[in-house]
Amino acid sequence: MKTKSLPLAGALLLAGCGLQPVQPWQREDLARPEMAWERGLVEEGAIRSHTYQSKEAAIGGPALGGGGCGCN
Amino acid sequence: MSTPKPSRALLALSAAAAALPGYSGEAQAWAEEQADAGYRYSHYQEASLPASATNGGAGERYEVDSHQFHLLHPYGEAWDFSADLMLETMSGASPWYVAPGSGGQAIQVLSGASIQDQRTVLQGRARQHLEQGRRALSLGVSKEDDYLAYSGGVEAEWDFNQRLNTLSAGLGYSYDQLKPTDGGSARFPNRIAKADKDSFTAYAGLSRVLTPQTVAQLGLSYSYSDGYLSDPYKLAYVDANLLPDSRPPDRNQWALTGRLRHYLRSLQAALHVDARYYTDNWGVASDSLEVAWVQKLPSDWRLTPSLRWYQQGHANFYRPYYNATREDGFYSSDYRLSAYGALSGRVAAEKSWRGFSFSAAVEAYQSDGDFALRSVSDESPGLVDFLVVSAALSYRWSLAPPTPRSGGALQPEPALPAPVQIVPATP
Repeated sequence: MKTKSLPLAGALLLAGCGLQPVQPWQREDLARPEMAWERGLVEEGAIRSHTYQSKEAAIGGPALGGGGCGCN
Repeated sequence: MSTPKPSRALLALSAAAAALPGYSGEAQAWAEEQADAGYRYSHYQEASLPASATNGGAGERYEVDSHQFHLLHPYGEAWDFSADLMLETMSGASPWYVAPGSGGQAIQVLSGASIQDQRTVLQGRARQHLEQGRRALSLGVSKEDDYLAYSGGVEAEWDFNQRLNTLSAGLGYSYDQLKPTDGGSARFPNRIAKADKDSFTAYAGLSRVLTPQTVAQLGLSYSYSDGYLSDPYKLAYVDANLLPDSRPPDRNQWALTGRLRHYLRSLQAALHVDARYYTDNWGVASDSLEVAWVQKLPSDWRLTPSLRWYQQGHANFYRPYYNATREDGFYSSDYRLSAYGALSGRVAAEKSWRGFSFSAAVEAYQSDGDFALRSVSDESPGLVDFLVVSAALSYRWSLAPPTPRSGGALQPEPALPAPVQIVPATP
């Protein structure tokens, strides 16, 4: 039950219920490089995802991966 | 035809306003018409298995050297193109099958001969920047001695609600063809000679600026694979016989992801939290949580320690070894389908200097049944521990000439009307 309510709580949070809209001139901190979704240089996220996916059963995330195996 | 260049303040504002999920970082680059090129080297080394878990002696395992080359170049005011090339050299021994020891304990048998393989991956992407978002087309090919994959995908992002929200979605397809070494030979008559599979992926994500220092994203992804999904090199010990690894011919995989970024002004640092819940129709469920601290330091240094925890349950047909045949005929002793947990710690340092950026990172990954929250009773003896060290260098340069100013003096910027219309940096 607790697990099932998590996505709903997350959706409500993202919908911004009860939050003051953030104005464009207030977004300086959001534009800082430290805040990027993907950290690191030269597709660091891609090779890290590939490494985990080739050693673990799970895949998936908000991005498309490339094909291929490299999985011995 | 020349286009009037926007003021620096407007560029900064546009970049800031565009700092939204899936877009920050590259947003500034596009707004300022910047190109970048980079190279990354990574060395991946698996730890040897302890002698107690193998059929004698320390089990030397796999290592991979990777070279990545990246190029991103804008074209005109609305397009950019990127190309990524990866060259990998893999060598070492790989888990082959698991057999019961004299006391019934599971013993990992490794492939005797050292594997040598090379992998080349080329991916290209064309992306168009629109007034309210972006759309992209990507194509890729991956080639190994025994493996060939073609992939393609379309992705789109749509900013709305004054760019407080971004909706993103993507569709992808991959066709993979396997031609295992020595498949169908006299030495390995049970190994398939050739097989293929199709994989379809779809995802959707919604991100939201929550506060001037906080942004969050929820995502859902689904993948369907159809075809040969077994490992042609692995065997399963079934009632004193060695049978080929055999898995169901289709797989439905779901992942629910949540990401949060929060900036702490007083510390000049950002907290990153990435979480994922995963489940599939093979009975595997997994959780992962990664927390990173991105600390800005003087002289354009950045230090990022991070910790990742992962756990998974086993596939419903997985066993380390089988004392009897199964009705469905599915067998796999691949440690990837075992129940276990894993912890990894990572530290990365990055330095920027003019257009150059340099980074170095080290990550240590350890897996163990004890790292899972649920008790693990049939843990694989072949669980992997590894170390990755990497270094990267990139260079970013501007394609747009410096903004000419009439009269040579800085003009005062016009006051921003309220509510502000977000004007793209380039029309």
